[in-house]
This record gives sequence, structure tokens and C-alpha cells, in this order.
Amino acid sequence: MARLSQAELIAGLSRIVGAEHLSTTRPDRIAYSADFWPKAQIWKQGGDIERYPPDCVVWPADEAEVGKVLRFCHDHLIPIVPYGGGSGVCGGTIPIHGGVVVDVKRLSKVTAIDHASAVVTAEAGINGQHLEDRLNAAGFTLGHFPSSIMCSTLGGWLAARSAGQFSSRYGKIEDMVLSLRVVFPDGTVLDTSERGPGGPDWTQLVCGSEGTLGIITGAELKVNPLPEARRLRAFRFRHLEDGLRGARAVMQAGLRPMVLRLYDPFDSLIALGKDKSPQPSDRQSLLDGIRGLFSGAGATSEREGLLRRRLGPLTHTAKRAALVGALSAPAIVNRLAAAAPSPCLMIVGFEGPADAVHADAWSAGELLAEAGGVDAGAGPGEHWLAHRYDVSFKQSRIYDMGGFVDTMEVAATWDRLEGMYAAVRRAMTPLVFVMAHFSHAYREGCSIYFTFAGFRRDAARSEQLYDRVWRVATDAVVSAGGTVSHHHGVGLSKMNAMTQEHGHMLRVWRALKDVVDPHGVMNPGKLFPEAPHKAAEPDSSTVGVA
Amino acid sequence: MTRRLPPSPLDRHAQALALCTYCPSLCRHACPVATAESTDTTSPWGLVSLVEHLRKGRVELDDEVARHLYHCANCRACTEACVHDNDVEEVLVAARAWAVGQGVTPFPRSGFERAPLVLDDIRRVERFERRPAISLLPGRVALDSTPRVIDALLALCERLDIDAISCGEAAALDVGYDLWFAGFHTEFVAQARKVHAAISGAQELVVMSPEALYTLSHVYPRYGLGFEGALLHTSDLLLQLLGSAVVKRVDARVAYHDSCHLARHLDHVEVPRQVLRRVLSRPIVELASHGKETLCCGGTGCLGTTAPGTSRAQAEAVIAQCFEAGVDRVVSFSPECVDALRAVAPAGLRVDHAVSLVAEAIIGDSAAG
Amino acid sequence: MISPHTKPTSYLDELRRIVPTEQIEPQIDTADDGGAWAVEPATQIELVEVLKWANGRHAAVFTRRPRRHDADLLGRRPRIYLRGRRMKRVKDLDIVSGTVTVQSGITMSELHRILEERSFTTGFPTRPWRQESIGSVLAAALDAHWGPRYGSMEDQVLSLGVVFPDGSVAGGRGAPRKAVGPDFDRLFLGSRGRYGIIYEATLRIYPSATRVAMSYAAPDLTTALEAVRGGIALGLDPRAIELLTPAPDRAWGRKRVGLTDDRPVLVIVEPWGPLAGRPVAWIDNHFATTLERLEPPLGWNMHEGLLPAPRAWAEPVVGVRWARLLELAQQLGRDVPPGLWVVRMSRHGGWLSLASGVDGPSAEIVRALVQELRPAGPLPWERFEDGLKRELDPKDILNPTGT
Ligand SMILES: Cc1cc2nc3c(=O)[nH]c(=O)nc-3n(C[C@H](O)[C@H](O)[C@H](O)COP(=O)(O)OP(=O)(O)OC[C@H]3O[C@@H](n4cnc5c(N)ncnc54)[C@H](O)[C@@H]3O)c2cc1C
Ligand SMILES: Cc1cc2nc3c(=O)[nH]c(=O)nc-3n(C[C@H](O)[C@H](O)[C@H](O)COP(=O)(O)OP(=O)(O)OC[C@H]3O[C@@H](n4cnc5c(N)ncnc54)[C@H](O)[C@@H]3O)c2cc1C
Ligand code: SF4
Ligand code: SF4
Repeated sequence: MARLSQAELIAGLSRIVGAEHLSTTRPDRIAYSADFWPKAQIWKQGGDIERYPPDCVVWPADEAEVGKVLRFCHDHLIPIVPYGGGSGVCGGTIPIHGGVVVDVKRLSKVTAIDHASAVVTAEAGINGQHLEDRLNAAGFTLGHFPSSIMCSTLGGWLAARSAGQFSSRYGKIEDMVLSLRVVFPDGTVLDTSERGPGGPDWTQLVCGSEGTLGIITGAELKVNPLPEARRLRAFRFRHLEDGLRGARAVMQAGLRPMVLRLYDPFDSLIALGKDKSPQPSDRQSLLDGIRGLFSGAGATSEREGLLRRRLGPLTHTAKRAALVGALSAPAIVNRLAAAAPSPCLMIVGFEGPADAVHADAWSAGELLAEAGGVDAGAGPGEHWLAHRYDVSFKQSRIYDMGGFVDTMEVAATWDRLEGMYAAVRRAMTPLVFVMAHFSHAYREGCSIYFTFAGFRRDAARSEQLYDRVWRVATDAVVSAGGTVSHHHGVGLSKMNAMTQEHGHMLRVWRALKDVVDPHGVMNPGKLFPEAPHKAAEPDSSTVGVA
Repeated sequence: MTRRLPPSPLDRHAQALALCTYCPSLCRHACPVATAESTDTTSPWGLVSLVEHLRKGRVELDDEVARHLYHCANCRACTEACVHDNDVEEVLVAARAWAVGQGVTPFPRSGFERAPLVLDDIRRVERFERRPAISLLPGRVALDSTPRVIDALLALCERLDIDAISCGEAAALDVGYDLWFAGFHTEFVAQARKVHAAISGAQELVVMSPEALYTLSHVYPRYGLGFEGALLHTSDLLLQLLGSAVVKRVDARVAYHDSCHLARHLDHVEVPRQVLRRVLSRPIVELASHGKETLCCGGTGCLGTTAPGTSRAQAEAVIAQCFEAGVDRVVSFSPECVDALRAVAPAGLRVDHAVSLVAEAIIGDSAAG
Repeated sequence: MISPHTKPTSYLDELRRIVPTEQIEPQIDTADDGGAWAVEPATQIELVEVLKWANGRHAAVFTRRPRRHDADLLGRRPRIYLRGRRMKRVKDLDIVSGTVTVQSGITMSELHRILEERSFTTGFPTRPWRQESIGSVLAAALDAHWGPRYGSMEDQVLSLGVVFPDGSVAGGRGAPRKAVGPDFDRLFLGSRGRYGIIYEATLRIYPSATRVAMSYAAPDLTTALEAVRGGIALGLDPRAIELLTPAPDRAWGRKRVGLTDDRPVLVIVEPWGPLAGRPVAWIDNHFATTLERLEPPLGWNMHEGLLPAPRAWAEPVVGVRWARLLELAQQLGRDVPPGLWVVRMSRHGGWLSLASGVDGPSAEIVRALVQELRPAGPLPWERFEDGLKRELDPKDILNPTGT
């Protein structure tokens, strides 16, 4: 097939979406050259602001236009990168082979709210917070609160199997979705609601496909009445394993807390802001430096204020020095953290009908006390609730100072959880500063959310360190019998672990690809290691070719 | 790392620039422009990152790049949503000024300049005094599109026994918000000097346009041109006036649209509501986005000049909220908002300046405005 | 190497080299077909080898009982009928995580017996699935009026182990939730062995002790639905709520449970675990104010004698939202047809079906709704499913005649 020139591409796509909804401008190509994959942030630190710019960006108006854009690219072998909010943290929207970024944000309507059945129908490009606002106005909540709700979209959630902070009660997005509409590259629209009991479940085959099969254009989701009451409690555990035992007891008793989070000792130290252990003063300042950077998801406001006061007078340069000091010697800081005799903090909260909330909170309290938890009152939980988005804002500072920070959210059944926690820590502590909390608890297991930060002199070295950390960490997770992602997805960052994770099950993916995307145009080079289609090297004179 | 660059006037904003550049666009939902345009390029993250790339010399400044910097309503919704309170307005204004300094002006200056009005035009407005003790600054938009609101306001003052208030010659001058926003700061300062001279001597200045009031109260002082007397907004004045007045409350379901500059820049969330509560017999209908979280209707930030389609789409989004709230009447205290909303409001929805509503309650003149 | 003229006898010899003779049972052989054997692999390795052999010989491998026309359709291709009964090991009973990993050939009754010794149960009913293997139940995934208690059939599965037609093996033990691509297990649930053989499954298990059942009789559908809706609105977390009218030929069953002409609609409520903070008495009070309490209560999946056995149920089953359910109830008024059921009820709706052989205007109304909600015409994904079959089973080895 003859390759299209850039001009032919633009002309062809403009005919579909209209010239004003297509762009090749520099600012657009920069903005759409990456998502929030920390590695791309490192590139940015190093001055590389558009490593993989798309050939163009299009904004189709509706499903029909999406279908035509896809068909056009399918016919001309042009890579397509579906794009929602671009808030992914795995490189999923990076146009590594160039091609066309299809931003679906013009598909942003709430199509219907079925009050009697508590079901909402919405288009995929709607911003998460806008959807929640619309539902709230109608007396409902989706119950989906990822920390990126402000900058992510419904389609992106479904494409990457997102989880919100209240997932223990409301489930992950794949538990909320009743059906979805997806457009495949040949223009076929699949509406998965047309399914009776029995037969393979296409909703769940499309969910998590991260744009490698088709573009999701809309979905029907379960919604819930706005909660009448909410109650948060906190507990302290001497040992992590006691906390985990308590968490398991709560979930397996069938209680459905909206949130259940257990911080590891160091994360607790930061969350609680409590550190009475005598430390040599330089170490103390290292800890303070780290704490200043990460606090915000913290638990008690006055303590935070105190920290801020302590750190406040420091200049930017001094803060940077503290950070560099701390992150350059992660092993020492990690050991310090481990040595700090801090109890583990757990936050547990319930929402729903008032009397049920109080009864459930009481039952949970009994179970947690039995596991050795000491009641820490309502304060830490309420503080968490009020500040639960703050921590996302903290990353900027670390990058600004030349460091990097990332998170790894893994999951396993309860029996393997502690082993996995230890293995991952062992693998990572020599390289980066690590802390963790357990959240998103279920009857059978739980997810662990590791936050890690590192520092190297320049971007190239940072990138090397970054890759190395991910490699050792995912290896540790797989050997410990867990899954390498609970909700961030795979993108580019975890692709290498996918063969270990799925083994021969990847044949299903290859078969799916061959059937729905025979030309391999959908988000090539993402999610799973290369399918039989080999992506051609992008050619400078022509548009990237899948 | 890339510190070998010559110092830039934007370096002063290094911290703010870095915050947005590495931020995962956490105020994305709040930005009305990015929402109306369905893009991430003109989100606060997109715009401020672009400025950072310009500062670091990674992007060449040209008309196309500079044009993007004007896709902002200056509504401050980003700063309100940001945990760092990052001042996007300051960064973008500085960036535009820098671009103008480099001679890159995608929109000609004439689009932001307002020639002084002929005094006669203002005299048409009832009660004109050259140098009144209480000077009323209606602003260009009010004079152009809702002169009857000004009349109604002055009539209200009269009815309520305040007759020291009048439009002075300063009313003929534009305070220069557009020039300042668009980065033409030399011209802005020249204009500000004129305005400052024209208003000095007044004891009180009552300003109808929230963006003009913001310019006078927050921008002028930066150039040593702060007004010495008291600066009031129409809503402040009305609240004082209504204190003892006999009011025949209006029985209507009315929604109140907060102006961005009033609610966010000037922290006037409660005062306008107090005024409305005094004259309405039913509770004010709150729109889905209100108070400090108000949705910008696109009437400000020169959007009408630089991105008219976006501005319209924003106004339509506000109108959609009015319908969702089930009202057939919406009022605002900003002439700019009234103008923007009227431009798109369908027949079934009445858009009024709040002064008209007050006049209805006090004077019984329901046609005002 | 493969000669098209290989004799059935030599096929048997070849099979004997893979599995012991006692695990092979020749099926009635007709003159010119390629031979047919029931094979019972005892291990995963044997299963894999049988498939590899079948692939080489272009044999047909069935995971169901032989049918009369199998030979006609397949001509001279040899046929293997796999039986799972020797692959019935409980590989891991993890009471910490609340999961059990079993080989797919274990029967439902055997699995429940083993679990009951440890005071656990699965989400599946202990009857009427007794001799069915867990593999066959999952491969059919036709949960309807004898469906699982806690959510759907799919919800019971943490992960599957699958052997592909070419003998490659996939699957692990899984995590409670993942975000590592699509949920591939879903391709095998419900596809009746079209793409692969389920050799192992990890299922969720639940403590068996906490079982409370309540049942009520309602005069009409509206009253029954309102009571259920009220319960849900008040915070009762629906776990097992069913609503049904006995089939016309089940008058005896109807009398036995205490339903009358005045109150023909049965509502079964079986909450599980903490009752959203409410004592059982609270739930009972809620339902008993508008409905009539039945004694002794009927628990979930206790409708034997009220409805035909699931295997005899040929009518379509459709998902219905509350909005439509309420409308239906309005239309029906007091005239509720027998043999109607709504199961797996939740805040959003339930699954509806009507027995065959019921006539009358009210039955027609229900049928019209079922018809309306049923997907019409060929579904767009049927084309894709055929494509998947070609990709995963290019030689059409596995269950080739369709189901
Ligand atoms: C600060 C921060 C906090 C975060 N917190 C959470 C959290 O708490 N929970 C969580 O789950 N995630 C979290 N994330 C990750 C991210 O927000 C999620 O992965 C989210 O689901 C991505 O949505 P998006 O709309 O931004 O998708 P994008 O980043 O645009 O896309 C993600 C992937 O999906 C594909 N895609 C997008 N839209 C479509 C579509 N319509 N059809 C087909 N494919 C599509 C893309 O090609 C890409 O591969 C966080 C990210 C950040 C930056
Ligand atoms: C319309 C309808 C509704 C039904 N509803 C219900 C219900 O609500 N509740 C209920 O209990 N039963 C229901 N059934 C019956 C249910 O299908 C069977 O009970 C169940 O499938 C097991 O039956 P079996 O042992 O006869 O399996 P078989 O008929 O032998 O097998 C079932 C299917 O699974 C395949 N299969 C078997 N083992 C495997 C394996 N290891 N790997 C891959 N594929 C395999 C077979 O090839 C076959 O296609 C329903 C049946 C129908 C037709
Ligand atoms: S204003 Fe704040 S929230 Fe918005 S992009 Fe900048 S740093 Fe992020
Ligand atoms: S001021 Fe308003 S329009 Fe401008 S970037 Fe911020 S949110 Fe967007």
C-alpha cells in the first residue's frame, strides 16, 4: 500500500473531522507527545520535550467520526493512538511510531441517567470530575475517585482498568461497567449491552485493552445514591502483619468499607507526622527533607503545619540539597525508615445509609481491635479524606529539584501479600527511597501501593536508574506470585513483564489483534510485546506506519 | 541543567513554571477554555508548560505559539483548584508581555485598546458631574450594551437618597484591563496614569465591571497607581443602600451567575447574594457551579477577541447549567457576563444585570436593562 | 508423517502411548468413520499430549457427551470425547485468601463436600448441579435461575487455567483485581469449550455457616418489586434476591410452599454476612409489612418443584433494568403469568425469563418484553468470535460441531 504523505494524511483526516478539529501545530504536538509517565518527565527534565510527537492530533465530534478516522487509518496503515485525558502513568498515549493521536474529549455528553435503575450512560471523553458533578446533581455518585479524577476520562478509566480510592466499596471501573461501545479499526461498532447470559464477555475483553483493540466511545455504568452518612476511623498497629490480619478480617466478614488503607511504618511516620525516636541530627534532617516532599496525604494537620514551619524557612536550594542528600543514599534512608519504631496507621471508613454506616464502623472496630489495633480516633481519617488529592501535587516539586518519583501498585491474594511486600522492598531499597501503603482491599486480597523516589545527576542517568528499578521491582512481584498492576495499566512501562505475567494467555491477545486489528494500527507497540505484525520503522518523509 | 541561557524576565516565575510543567494537570477539570476546546494544549498545564519551554529556549517564539497564550479567560479557576495556589494568571500575563516585548503579537494591539468615549456619550447617562465625590465607573461594556442598567442604578441611588454619586469624566476612560491582559504593558501604564489622574480626588469609586475593579485594586498598585479612596463594587454599594430601604420583594425563581473576577479575584461571593436575598422572596437558585467554583462564561480575558468560538461555547455551558437548574431567569453582577450570556441565551431564558432586579423591587421598574 | 489412511486401530495404539489403556474407552464405531474414544486424562500433561496428538491427526476433541450426528458431520476424522473425572484434585484450599484451586473435572457435589468439611462453600448452588464438573459449568456459564448466589458466574472465578487446542498451557492463580490488559479468562467462560479446555480454576469460597433465608408471598409483581426496591433503598445490600411464580405444571410445589391464588408471587431474600448493619429481624419486618411471610422459609435456589430443571429451560433469559421491570409490573397488574422469574436482582435490575408453554395475555406481555430486550439479528461479535476460533484453533480441533 502506498504510504501517505503528510499532506495527504491531513487532507484525508480534515475531510472527516473538519480542518479546525485537526492540528499539526508545535504546541499541540508537544502537548500530545506524552502522558504522565515519569520517564517522560525525566526526558522533560533533560530538555527533551517531545521525543515522540504525533504526526497530527484529531478531535472527532462523535462516534461516526471516530469510525471514519479509524477506517481511514486502517486503510492506510497509519498508527492510531487513542487519547483520553493523557493522565496515564505508563506511557500508554505516547505516539512511539508517530501517526495520529485521536483525542476523544469532544465525546463528552452524559447521554442518559436512568433514575429507577441507577444507571448512567455517558460518552467516553467526559472528564471524570465533570461526570461525577453531573451525577451528584442528579443525586447519584459513581463512587469512582482515582487521584487523577480531575484530569482523566471515562474512556481512559475503562481502557486502563482504573481504580478509585473508594474501590473497596464501589469496585473498580470494570466492576461498575454494565456495557460499553467500542469502534474497531475497520469501523465496526460493538455495543456489548446486546448480550444475554452465557457467551464470552466482550465488555471485559475490551476493558483494559489500553487502546490496542479499538476506541471506546461510551459506556453504561452502575451508579449509587449519594451517601447519607460517612464515618471514618483510624487504628494503630504495632506490627504490619497485625494490620493486615485486621484488614482481611474486615473484608472477609463481608463489610464493605469505602476505604481501608494500611500504611507501612515509614508511610505511617509521614502520615502521622510522629517521630519520637532519637536520631542523629543529620539523619533527622534527611527524614525531614523526605517528609516535606511527601507529606500532604498526611494524617494530622497540626503536625503538618509544624513540618511546614520547620521546612518553611529553607530556601529552594537548601531543600534541593536535602532531597539530593536523601535520595542519593537511598539505602541509608530506607534503613533509617525501617528502624524508626513507628506503628502502622490504618484508616477505615464507611458511607451509606446512616444506621448501616455506624453499625459497620462499629463491627469493623471490633474486628480491628481484635487484631491488635488501637483506636486513633476520627482525626487521621478525616484529614486523609480532606487532603486525599494533595499528594498528587507533590510530584512537581521533586521533579523541579531534579529527582523523580513514581508509584507501583501491585496486588496479590492475602496469603502472598506480606511476602510480596518484603520482596519488593528488598529489591528496591538499594536503589531508591521507598514507602508503601496497602489499599484497595478485597475479600481475597489487596493491593500494595509503593511510592518511590530517586535521584541522579542528570536525566540520562536518572533514566537508567528508573529502568533498573522497574525491572527489579516487577521481577520481585512476579516471583512473589502477584500481579504487576492493580490499576495503572501497562502501557510501555510494564510491557516487559507481560510475558511473565500472562504466559501463553497472550495468544488470546494476538488472536484478538489479528481479528479486530489485522493491520496492527491500534496503539502499536503498547501493552504487550510485539504481536506478529512488525511495526515498521518510522520514515522521516512519510507518516509513521504501523 | 540548561542554565547557560541568558536570563529571561520569565525567570522570576521559575518556581511557578516548574510546578505546572511537572504537574499532571490536576486543575484540568476546572479550566473552562480547555473544556470548551476539548484539548489539553490550552489547559493551564499546557499553557504554562509552553511558557516554560519558551523560557528554556526549547520552543521558538512565533505567532502560532504566541497565539496559544491568549486561550485563557483569566478566570482563575486553575489557581482556585491548585493546592499550590499557583498563579497561572501572573505567569501568562508575564509571558504575553514578554512576547509583545519580542515583537510577537498574533493579535494586533488595536484589538485591546479602547479609545476614550466622547464625554457627550456619557452625559447621556443621567447625572454627570466632572469630578463627583462618589464616582461611578460603569465600564465600556455597560456603557455600550446595557446603558439602561446604569440609569437604573443611578435612579436607585436617587430613590435611596444618595445623590453624591455620578459618572465623572473618568467614566469615559477604559481602565486598560485588556491591554494589561494582552501584554501591552507600556500602553497599559500610560492608560492607567490617565485613569489614575481622572479618578484621584474622588472619595469613593463605585465600579460596575468586576475586571475593571480588579485592575484598579490589584494591578494599578503594582505600578504605584493605587487609588487612595475607597473602591467599591456595585454590589457593595447596593448592600449599603438596601440597608434601610422599603423593598417589595420580587417573586421569581432566579439563578445567580458568579462572575469569575468578582467571586475568585475579589472574593465577592456573599455580598452579591446578600443583595439578592434582600430583594427576592424565594431563595436564590444556585447553579451547579457557583461561588468560588463558578463556571466562566467566557465574557472576560479578551476571549471574545482572541477565541470567540471558545467564548461562546463557555457561555453556552453556563446557559446549560441554568436549564439544568430549571430557571427561566439568571442575573449577574458583571456587565461582561450579562453581555456574554445574552449573546447565546435562547428565548426562554432571561439574562439580567442584578441591578435590574433590585430596581424592580424598589422602583417597580421591571423593564430596566 | 501423517497419513490420511491411518486406521482407527493405529490411532488407538497411538493414544495408548499417551494415556493408560484403562483411561480409554472406545465408542461405538461405524463402518467408515475415523473411530471414536472417550479419553480420561488423569493429569494436565496427559491432557496436553492428547491435544497435541489430536492436532497432529486432525482429530476432533469434544468436551461433552457424544451425540448421534457427530460422526456424520466429521466424516473420517477420529473423535475424542474428553472426560474430566480423573482430573479432580483440589490443588489448593487457601482459607487465608478465601479461594480454592481445583482441577476442572471435579464435580460440584464433590467440591462442596470437601469444602463443607472445612465449613466453606462456593458461590454456586449445591443443587441442582451435582454431577456436573466445575469445568463444564464454567464453560457453559449459563447462570440463570439456578445461578450463583453472590453475583454472576464470572464473579466466582479468580482465574482459569486453560489448554489451547495446540497443547500450549496458560493460566495462573491470579490476584483479586488486575490492570494488565483485558480479562482473557472471560473468553473461556461461556464459550462452551470453543477456544480452549479449562483444566483448572481458582474460585472464591465463603464461610458456609452464615446462612439466613426468608421468603414471602406477594399479591402481584408491583407489590413484590416495591418491597425489594424499598429494601435496597434502605441499605439492604442485595446478595440473593429472587422473585418467581411457579410454573403451570407445578401446582403441588406451589401448595407445598404456601403460595395461593391471591398471593402467587414468591420473593426469596437471602442476605449474607453483615446485613448492612441491620439485624435479620429488620429485613424481615420490612418485607413482612407489605408481603406475607412464608413458613418454613425457602432459601435461595430452593425452587425445586416450582420451576422446571434448568436443563429443560429452553426460553431466552434477558437482563432487565428496574425502570422496565416496574413498567412490566404495571402492565401486568394482578394478572401475573406462572413460570416467570427474575433472579440476581440488584440495585440496577435483574435477569428475567418465562417458562415455555404458558399462554394468555399476561404471558404475551412478558414474552414481548423478552423479545424486545433480546439482541436482534446476528450479533456483530459473532464474526469476531468466528475469527478468534480460526486464530486459536486453526484446524478446528476443539468441539468442532459448535457446542
Ligand atoms: C496524579 C495521578 C494520579 C493517578 N491516580 C490514579 C488512581 O488513583 N487510580 C487509577 O486507576 N489511576 C490513576 N492514575 C492513572 C491514570 O489516571 C489512569 O490510568 C486513567 O485511567 C487514565 O485515564 P485517561 O483518560 O487520562 O487516559 P489516557 O492517559 O489518555 O489513556 C490511557 C490509555 O488508554 C487508552 N485510551 C484512552 N482513552 C481511550 C478510549 N476512549 N478508547 C480506547 N482507549 C483509550 C490510551 O491509548 C492509553 O493507552 C493517576 C495518574 C496521575 C497522573
Ligand atoms: C438455556 C440454559 C440455561 C441454563 N441455566 C442454568 C442455570 O441457571 N443453572 C444451572 O445450574 N444450569 C443451567 N443450565 C444447565 C447448564 O448448562 C449445565 O448444568 C452445565 O453446563 C453443566 O452441564 P453438563 O455436565 O451436562 O456439561 P456438558 O454439557 O458436558 O458441558 C457443557 C459445555 O461445556 C463444555 N465443557 C465441558 N467441560 C469443559 C472444560 N473442562 N473446558 C472447556 N469446556 C468444557 C462442553 O463442551 C459443553 O459445551 C442451563 C442450560 C441451558 C441450555
Ligand atoms: S495550576 Fe496547579 S494544578 Fe494547575 S497545572 Fe499548575 S500546578 Fe497543576
Ligand atoms: S485562568 Fe481560567 S481559562 Fe486561564 S488557564 Fe486558568 S482556568 Fe484556564
